Amino acid sequence: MVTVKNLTKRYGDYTLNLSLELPDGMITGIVGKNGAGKSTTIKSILGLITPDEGSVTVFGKEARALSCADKEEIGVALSDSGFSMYLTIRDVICVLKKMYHRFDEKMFVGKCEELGLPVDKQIKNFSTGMKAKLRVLVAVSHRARLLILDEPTAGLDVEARNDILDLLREYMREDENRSILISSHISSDLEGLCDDLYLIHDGRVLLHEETDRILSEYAILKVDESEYSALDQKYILKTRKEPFGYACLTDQKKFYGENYPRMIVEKANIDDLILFMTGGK
Amino acid sequence: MSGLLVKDFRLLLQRKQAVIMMLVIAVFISFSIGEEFILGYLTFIGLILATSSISYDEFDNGYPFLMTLPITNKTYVLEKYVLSAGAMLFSWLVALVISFATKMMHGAPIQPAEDLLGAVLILFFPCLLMNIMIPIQLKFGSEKSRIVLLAIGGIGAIIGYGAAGFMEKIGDDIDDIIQTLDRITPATAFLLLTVLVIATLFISYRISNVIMDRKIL
Repeated sequence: MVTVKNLTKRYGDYTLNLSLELPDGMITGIVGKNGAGKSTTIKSILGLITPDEGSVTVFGKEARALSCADKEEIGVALSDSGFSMYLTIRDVICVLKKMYHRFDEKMFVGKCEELGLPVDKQIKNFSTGMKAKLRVLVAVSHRARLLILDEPTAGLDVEARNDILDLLREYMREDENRSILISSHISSDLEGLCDDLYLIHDGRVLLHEETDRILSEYAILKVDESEYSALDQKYILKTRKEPFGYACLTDQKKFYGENYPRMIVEKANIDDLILFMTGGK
Repeated sequence: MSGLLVKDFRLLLQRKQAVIMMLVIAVFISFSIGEEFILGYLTFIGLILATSSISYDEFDNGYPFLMTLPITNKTYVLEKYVLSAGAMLFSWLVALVISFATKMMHGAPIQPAEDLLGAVLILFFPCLLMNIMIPIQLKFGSEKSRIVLLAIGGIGAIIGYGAAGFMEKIGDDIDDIIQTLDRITPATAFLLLTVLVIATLFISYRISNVIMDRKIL
């Protein structure tokens, strides 16, 4: 559904250079620290910025050349941009009805009620959580084939984040061919949602892996100096010096569990992955 | 484009109190100062309200999301011209009705053809202003565009003053030129202004499209 090939974008000293693929029916996450290049990647896919080199195709067409009909097939929620804050949801409904042929007004109004979004209040008076819910609700309201979401849960409390994730799960349940590309630095959101993850750092993909594999195969080995020197480092991806010795990230949990039964092997999560891959030795 | 028009119309409705206030002022002006002034005044207000929709789009980093909606840069630009022209035409019609009503209430004679032609000639000037304002608003945004418009006005005044001085120096009398302009028939003026508005509209629209295509979102 989305193919990014050797996308290069330069901003002064900073260079983004990456490739990624979003297949049909998949939820792909982009994780990384602030400034890693997540938003630039998403803006390139949306055709908002022109790559210096490489290509970005959506539905097999150049992202910058998407027609209005193609754009109707994409639902978008950006963290820092949305409808004018002076509009109300009632206004937004009128706009969406004109913009999207397949806008589902009944569903939209029902969800507004369910999520506690007042239809006659200006958006500027909404809480952060309400604004975020509205952005995602707008994205899922017109039966798009593809959702592109940039940090949809940033700065939200657990309840608001769960509401948004539920909206996304419901969206995917309705049609198995739909896809979602979601960027976030809140790993727990992505762990329960994404099929695969791209870890981006300094404009480059450090890791592309299936989420299930990360959660089942990746682990952190906690070893002292002597254990570390005796350790087979064949499957060690990154090592970090710790007060007790070393913490080592591996993608072969089973191997170390079987061969070093007395070693502390802890399950790794996406946060660990980010910390190790972007900061470890 | 209809979606964008609905959006801007809805935003305009958020300022309905200000619009009503301006209408009240317009009626007051029409009764006290004169009905000719209101035609330019209200049409200009219509233009300002319409072009301010660009500021609303720009406010709070609204452009990136707006450009992900099923519209193109060209549609966006075209909508701004359609909205501005529509707002000007509507406010001009309202002004026309108020001016005729004022005339009738003052007991002044109404000459429909002549009055209408005069009113149409007034409409050309906000049209020319629209052709300047839209690309400037798109390029510089709401804050900087005010400074740029002031600068353009200042430069225009300096050029005009300089040209008048130069003509005096070379012996041409500025009064002769004014008299020549006075001799232009309303029909010729109408034709010349139509050509000028269409030509500047064409250039303005092309420039606006280039600005939107180059805009960093």
